[in-house]
Parts: sequence; C-alpha cells; structure tokens
Amino acid sequence: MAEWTAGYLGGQGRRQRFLAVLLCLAVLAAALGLAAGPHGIALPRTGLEIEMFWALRLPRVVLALLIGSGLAMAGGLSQAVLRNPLASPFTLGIASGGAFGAALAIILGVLSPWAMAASAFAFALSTSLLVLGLARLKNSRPETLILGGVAVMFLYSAATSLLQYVGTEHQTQAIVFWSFGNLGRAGWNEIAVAAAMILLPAPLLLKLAWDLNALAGGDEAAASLGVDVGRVRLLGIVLSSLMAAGAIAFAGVIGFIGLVAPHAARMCVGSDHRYLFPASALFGAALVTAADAAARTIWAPQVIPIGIVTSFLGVPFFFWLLLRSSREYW
Amino acid sequence: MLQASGLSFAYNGRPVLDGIDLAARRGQVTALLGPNGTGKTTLLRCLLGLLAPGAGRVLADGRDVRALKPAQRARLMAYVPQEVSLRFPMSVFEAVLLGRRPYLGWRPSHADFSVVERVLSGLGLGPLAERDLTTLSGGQRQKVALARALAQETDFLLLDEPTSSLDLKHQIEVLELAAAAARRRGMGVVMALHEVNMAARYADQVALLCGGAMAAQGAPDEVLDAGSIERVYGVAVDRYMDGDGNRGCWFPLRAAEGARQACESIFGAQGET
Repeated sequence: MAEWTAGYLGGQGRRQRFLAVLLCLAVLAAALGLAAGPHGIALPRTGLEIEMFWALRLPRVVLALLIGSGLAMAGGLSQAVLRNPLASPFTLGIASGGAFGAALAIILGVLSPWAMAASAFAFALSTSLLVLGLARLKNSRPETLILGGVAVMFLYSAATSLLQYVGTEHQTQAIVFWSFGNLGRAGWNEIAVAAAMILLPAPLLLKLAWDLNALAGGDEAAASLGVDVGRVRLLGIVLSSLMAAGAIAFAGVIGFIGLVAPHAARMCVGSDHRYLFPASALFGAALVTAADAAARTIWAPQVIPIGIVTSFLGVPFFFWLLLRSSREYW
Repeated sequence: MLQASGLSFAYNGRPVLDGIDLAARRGQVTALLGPNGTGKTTLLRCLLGLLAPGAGRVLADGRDVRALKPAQRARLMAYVPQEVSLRFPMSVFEAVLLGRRPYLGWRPSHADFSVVERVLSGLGLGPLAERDLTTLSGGQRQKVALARALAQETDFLLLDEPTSSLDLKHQIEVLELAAAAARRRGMGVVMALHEVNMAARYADQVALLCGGAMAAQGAPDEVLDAGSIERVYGVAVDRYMDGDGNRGCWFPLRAAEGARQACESIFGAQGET
C-alpha cells in the first residue's frame, strides 16, 4: 500500500479514536447528569431520593442524550443536503412550526402533554411538507428550499404571535415557557416515541453517507457520480425533519445544538459523513446532557430552561473551537 | 460511441438546443465550440443523461442514457463541471476517492485505493494528497476534478471548459491529459472549449454550435476556417502559419459590425487608424 493511501487510512484511524473519545465524553456527561441533583453532585441515599432518581432523573438524562444526538444528526444532515454551513434542523421552519403547534394546543385548552406533543410534532412536520411541495412545483435547489423554509418560518412565527396576542396572560406565559425547552416533561412512554423517531432513521443516515460526501462537490458533480440528487435531498429533508420534530415535540425548542454539534464534529473528524454523523450525535448528546446537569445545579433548586443553558455554554465553546481552527471558518 | 440524434432541449419554454446530431467516438477528442450561451453546457448535461431532452435522444453504445440507472451512467461517463464550489473541507485524496463512488460499498477496497494512487501519481497530485481542497489554487483544483473523473474509470469523459480559469501551463497540461485519455486509454472525450486554437490542436473532431444548432461538424481543418469562425463568433480572424506550414493559429482581427457599433455608441466614434 503506497504512502498516500496509508496517510488516508491513518486519518481514518485517528477519526475512530476520536469517536472513542467522544463516546467517553458522552458517558461522562451522562454520569454527571445522573449524579447532579438539587444538592449538587451526590448519589441518591434515602428511599425517596432513590425513587426520584428512577422516576425523574434517569428518564431526564436518557431524554437529554436522545434529544442531543437527534438534533445534532438532523443538523448535520440538513447542512449536507442544503449544502449550507448555516443550515440547522430549524432552517426549514421546523421550530416555529412546532412552537405554533404547542401554542395552538395551549390556546385550545388541551392540556394533556401527549396532545401538546402531537400538535407540536404535526405542525413541525407540516413545515417541511410545505417546503417539499414548493420543491416539487419549482425545483429542489438548496436556495429554493432555504428561502421557502424561511418564509414558512415567518408565517408560523406570525401565527404564534397572533395566538399570544389573543390568549390570556396565563396562556401566553405557557407558550413562551414551552419555547424555552424543557427536559422534565417526558416519561418513559414519551421517551420511547422520541427514541423511535430519532434512532430509527439513524442507519439510513449512514447509508446516505457516501452520497452526501459526493454532494459536497456540487449537485452536478454528485449526479455524474451516480447520486440521485433530487431523491437524496428530499429524503434528507424528510429524515432531518422527522428527527428534529421528534426531538422538539417532547422537549420544546433547543435551538443551538443542531447548528453547532455538526460543526464541532466536523472540526474533529472532517467532512466524511461516515464519521461525521456518529461524531455529531455523540457531541450533541454530551452537550445537552452536560448543559442539563448545569441547568439543574447552578441555581438549584431552580431549573434554568435547557434551551437557554445550551446557548450560554455552547457559544463560548464554539467560539473557542472557531478561533483555534486553522481553516477559514471552521 | 456516444451519440445524440435530433436532440432538442428547452429551459422553461426557452429553446436552448435544436435538433443536435453528434457522435463522439472512443479514442477521439471531440471539442464543442461556440459562443457563450449557445448551449454547450446544456448539450454536455444531455449527453450525461442529467437532463431529459425535449426531443431526440442520446445513446451510449446503443443504450438510451436516460434509461440507465444513475450508478450505471456513472460507470460509463465521467464529468468535470465548469466550476466546483466546495462548502466543507475535504482532502485531495478524499476528493479523488469520490470518483470510486459508483463502485463503492461502505468501505473502499484495495482496488479502489490502487486506482486512486495511480491517478494521483500520474497527475503529480501525490504531494497534495492530504491538503484541503479549499487551500489549493484554481489550476490545482481543476486537476483534482480531472483526477476524480479519471478515477471513475469510465469509457467516456466529458469536460466543461476545463481550461477556462487556468494559466497557459495548466491549460496545456489538462488538454494533454484529456488527449492522452482518448489516445492511450481509448476513452471517448468530449469537451466544451472557448479556445479555437486549442481545439484545433487537440481535437480529432470539432462541433461548432451556434444559437443552439449545429453549425458545422468534422475534422478541425474541415470545420474551422475564417468564414465559419466569423459566422459563429462574429469576429473576423486571420490565420498565421509557421514556417513549415504545419501549424497555424487563428488570430482575431476585429469584432463584427455589432460590436463596433456598441463601442462607438458608448465611447464615441474613433478617427481612422
């Protein structure tokens, strides 16, 4: 084997070791999340504490791991199919759709968490259906999809504002609170549903990895390499929307992860999607879980909404990565 | 043989190609010449099967290219687009390895790697193998795109203005490589070009397009003369020959009437020179 192949394979080995490190990081974050409570880092001792641990803390950490990995993979996928480093799962209006769905449920007085989650999920997914319809009528260029997504986002934001305007003070407060993100709403049943929506598409993402690698060089080059560009792009949008909608339906809007985790992963393992997806998922899982642990301990017994903490912790971390990266912008 | 017959294509009702007949043979370089916007790129995309023609069809060895699966097409024809925009970092090795995408499963095989090695060393890209594509010069990137297409190991190679952003040395290098792919490996090479002289020097066959139709087609000596060049490009040319009369080159004299009028209306009439 000549030297350049050896160099490439050496790089692959380095990536695999990086994945192992990220896995350790995620496990560490999970352990931290399990140990972190209102009294700081401490293991449950009394009967009540043990009961609370199983009933509240464990599902919360599992949900954090799931949501983090789901948003991160969805973000990496939308960046790849839209060929845009600014894309996140929310670029196509999924977050504003989900927020509108939740707001609608609140205004209509439907207080069952399942109904709220179902409404948020349905409206989150409806945004990507609108964008896909646009793609069908016009074309599936990334620019068309992004502009369509931004338009849908404004539409749903305006609709949510309208609901806040007509709602009572109490309802408006509930709508705003939903949009901060909250990992405490879900029990095991909800987690099972979220897990299905986040984990089932994951193998498909890996199956698309080579197609997405080819897409990095442009639509035409990818098509000439045998990639069915239109199909891959639409499939990517559907999968990314499904994962993101599954995440926000139960946890509200946690916006920053989907943008940042794939970039952080890319800085570590490069752009090969066979490594980028697992690395993004582990990064996202670790980040959300650690942020949640911080959210519960910094101001205990108050719990700071997770959507706020991920940004406060994530942005300085991202700036640090951005500054130490030798490349132009990542 | 890659053969287009009666090929017509329109973008949103605006006709671009009109009844094109073209046959690109293995072992030959076919140059597509013609002014900007005359449909050269569209023709290449139709030949590749990326666009569905409004009328006519493209046959590759007798099979309709639109009926082939994308992966089958990719094992038959490789393409170097005019410009490659890269949004995310990628090493030269990874970019060339992408040429093996039509053959790959999850993990590239030894055979894939040895093809990549051969192409990299052949094009002198080995020392750049680990460099990020975004840090390369335009000429180097163009060579990487060509390397990727060669790693695809296809019967046909289609290039869209492969020399447009290159300096003289890189232009010659890329054209020599394309010609060698045809003559040594027997590939059928089709390339859109702007340089009439380069086409005359490297092509076995020239297809002169004008306004989406085929103006003339044949060996460079038959197709290219002062009359056909002026008709198609609207520029009067003169031919200069070397001492032995073997090699000539076309030299533009002046733009045709329309261009001269434009100059006068913008900058004012010029005295006789």
